[in-house]
Amino acid sequence: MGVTASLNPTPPASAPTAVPEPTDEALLELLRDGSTSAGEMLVKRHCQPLLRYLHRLVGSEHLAEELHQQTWVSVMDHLDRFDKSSASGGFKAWLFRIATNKANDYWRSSGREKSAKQSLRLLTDQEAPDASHRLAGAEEETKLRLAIARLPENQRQVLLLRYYGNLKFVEIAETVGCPLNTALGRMHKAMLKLKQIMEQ
Amino acid sequence: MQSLLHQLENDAILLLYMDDELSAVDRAEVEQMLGSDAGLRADLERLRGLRDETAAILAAADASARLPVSENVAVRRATRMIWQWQLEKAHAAPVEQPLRELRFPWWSYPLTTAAALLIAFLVWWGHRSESPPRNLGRNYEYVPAGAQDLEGMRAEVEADLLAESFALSEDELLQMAQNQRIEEAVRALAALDDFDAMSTNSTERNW
Repeated sequence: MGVTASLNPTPPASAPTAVPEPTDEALLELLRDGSTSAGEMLVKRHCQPLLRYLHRLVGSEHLAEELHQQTWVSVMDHLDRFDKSSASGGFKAWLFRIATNKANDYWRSSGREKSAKQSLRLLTDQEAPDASHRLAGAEEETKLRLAIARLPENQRQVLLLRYYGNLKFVEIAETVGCPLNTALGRMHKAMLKLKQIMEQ
Repeated sequence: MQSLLHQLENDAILLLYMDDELSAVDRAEVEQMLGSDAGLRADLERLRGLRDETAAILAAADASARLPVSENVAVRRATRMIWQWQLEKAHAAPVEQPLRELRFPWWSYPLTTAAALLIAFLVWWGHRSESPPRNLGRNYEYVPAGAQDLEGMRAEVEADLLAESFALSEDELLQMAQNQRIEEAVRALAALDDFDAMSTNSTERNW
């Protein structure tokens, strides 16, 4: 099952007969009160886009899984600091901001260059599908991974936050810590470069 | 406040416009510009195509790619960490002791302590000269300070009385008193006091 995100973060209209699910913020309140099931529901809700985001960002399955867990531990550590009235973009933006920080921390601690080389090696060696699975889709996937790996890190972050996190540009600018104009410029360049690489 | 449009480049404005992230005022202004500028309209279409194409590329890649770990496993692991975190927090949380009400106002406690310390100091100061020195020199003959003080005090009292009587200076009278060997008279008086005490005791015993 793929992530149902698009590059337009407008939420889809829900069916009128559907029972309204509790919001992220309501679940967070329950989690604050010690409800583990609320935590499980939150994890389930954001698991797929968050894992894919981290996987595309760091390029390693093992590291993505590790960072996913670290992100949730960090959510628990800073649970009391989340203020839904002040945090722009709500819980999801906050969650992706934490995940981005975790990835940045990892890069900082392990050395960016080394990590980038390792990611590329993983992309080309370990995680590239073997001959038996080399289907058209898998080839496309490999090509995309390489294309994403070739994007400058700041452009990659903006593109992936937009696609997997469904964050608004204002929230993305806040998350990566740059002016809105810069975030929009990075997005534009990332889309152009990705298209260019994929067409090669 | 300056409009957002004046701070952004055209492509940036169009990206915000096509994803409906502009304010109503800015949006109306962009629509007005689009109505009059064919080049801008073409740019908008180009960006829209680029956005849709990028989304399609990513969606296709995700459709053929598996997650780093299965969703169930990832959820289970993350949930277990949350549960563990809550457990650790519950164990680490100290048992809250109810605040005991103070019997007296809070400020009375430091005040009382300070007063007690002051009294203790004054008592010590007052008795300081009466206690014998603990470390005497090898060739020092100990003379109780009390007797010297008593004699000196008596001499001074005598001098004061004489000063009052004769309206002379205190030093002159003290000199006079010393010349008249008042110390010897005081010793004699003390001996007389001892004698009286002895005689009183013996009388009481006889009774």
